[in-house]
Amino acid sequence: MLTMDQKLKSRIDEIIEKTTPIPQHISNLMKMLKDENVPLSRIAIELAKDPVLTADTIRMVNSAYYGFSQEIKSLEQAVVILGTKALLRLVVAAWAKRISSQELKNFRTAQNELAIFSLVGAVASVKFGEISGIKFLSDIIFTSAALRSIGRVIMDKLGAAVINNILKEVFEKKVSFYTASKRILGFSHSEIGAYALRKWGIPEDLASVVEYYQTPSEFQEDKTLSKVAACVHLGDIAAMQIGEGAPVDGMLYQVDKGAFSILGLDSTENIIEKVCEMILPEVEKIKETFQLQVGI
Amino acid sequence: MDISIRLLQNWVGRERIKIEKVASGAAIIIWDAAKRRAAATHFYSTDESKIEEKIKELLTSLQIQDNDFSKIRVKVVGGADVAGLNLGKKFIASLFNVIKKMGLPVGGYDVGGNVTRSVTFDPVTGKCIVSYLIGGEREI
Repeated sequence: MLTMDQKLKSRIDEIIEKTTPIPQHISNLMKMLKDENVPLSRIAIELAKDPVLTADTIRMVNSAYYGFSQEIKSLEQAVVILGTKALLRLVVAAWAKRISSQELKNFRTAQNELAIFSLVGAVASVKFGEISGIKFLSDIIFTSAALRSIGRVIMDKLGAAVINNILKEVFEKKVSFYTASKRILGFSHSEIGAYALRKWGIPEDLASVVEYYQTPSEFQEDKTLSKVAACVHLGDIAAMQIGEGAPVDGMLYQVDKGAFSILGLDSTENIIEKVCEMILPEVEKIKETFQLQVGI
Repeated sequence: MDISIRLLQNWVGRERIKIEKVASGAAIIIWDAAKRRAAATHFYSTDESKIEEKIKELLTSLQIQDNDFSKIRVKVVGGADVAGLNLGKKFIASLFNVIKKMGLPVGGYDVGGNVTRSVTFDPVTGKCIVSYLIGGEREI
């Protein structure tokens, strides 16, 4: 359970509610994720309110990570192939892309950069899932990886002094950004991201993965979700290695070696290197597919 | 306006170039000081044969004749080590092995550490500025 200073908590709540509000139609779609038998017509009514989100969702369905031989052109087709739950998770991922597209002055990312970083990491996370034999979890891996940087969006709004204090602690005490952030604020960006996701009504499985993606070996409650968190962790590390769109803290973390054993992978860096080489040619395609040009 | 070089893209010309957010990979710039132009890429691989192939592509685009490297200078920026792994170090070691094997003269480098770098290079003046995402810059 996240504990924080009351004054800071009020400030965070204000940021979540006022400066990063969740539109009603998105909120409605998220609630549907908790319902096993949502008819497509209900999803379509909500998505019709947001054509850009619908287009982004279809782009995600057609992105390289799913690897369908035929192009999926409609929501109906996507539901038949993926099922409603997987489709709704991709709607959440498309919304995460929108939030992460804003410029973060204190994390030093230009417009669209954090979204690129999030999506490169999401595609890499799915690759780790494939390598580990859990391709069937691709939609939850992709979506939670796309959501993983939401906490940075919130932390950025705490101001330059806060981020600079954390960076000072990193360099003076030779600790990771994760540790420094916990010491200064009492939480990491992943924990505050999960806190926001829960406040927005995002399903608990996605929020839990976001909360633990930086420390998957500490996630003991659910074996399946711990595998998802491990994939997201390693996918995030791969995105950091590639560097495209990386925020200022992108170099300042440590790998949780427990992630390899959770996935039954050999604990060497070779696997990360291999995934990086697989993803590198995809980076420009990801930017093109999701219309993410830096600074535009 | 700077020409922005994308990941894995090869570029050749006389315009000022910029390669942003270089992490474990490297910005490789080959400057032809006589013709005042440069070939550049943002690349990553620890496979020396792939690195050699990439460098040969850059040399070909500069129309370097008969392995005459006397007028060229290579600049290398990047190879950061991320998350306690040594991928950047491994890549830079492979890259410098290839550079040495090919007999290319190195005109400057800024590699390693755990910093994200951006680099700008002006082929007319040969000025190469490396800036760090955490703040600060230096000329190489």
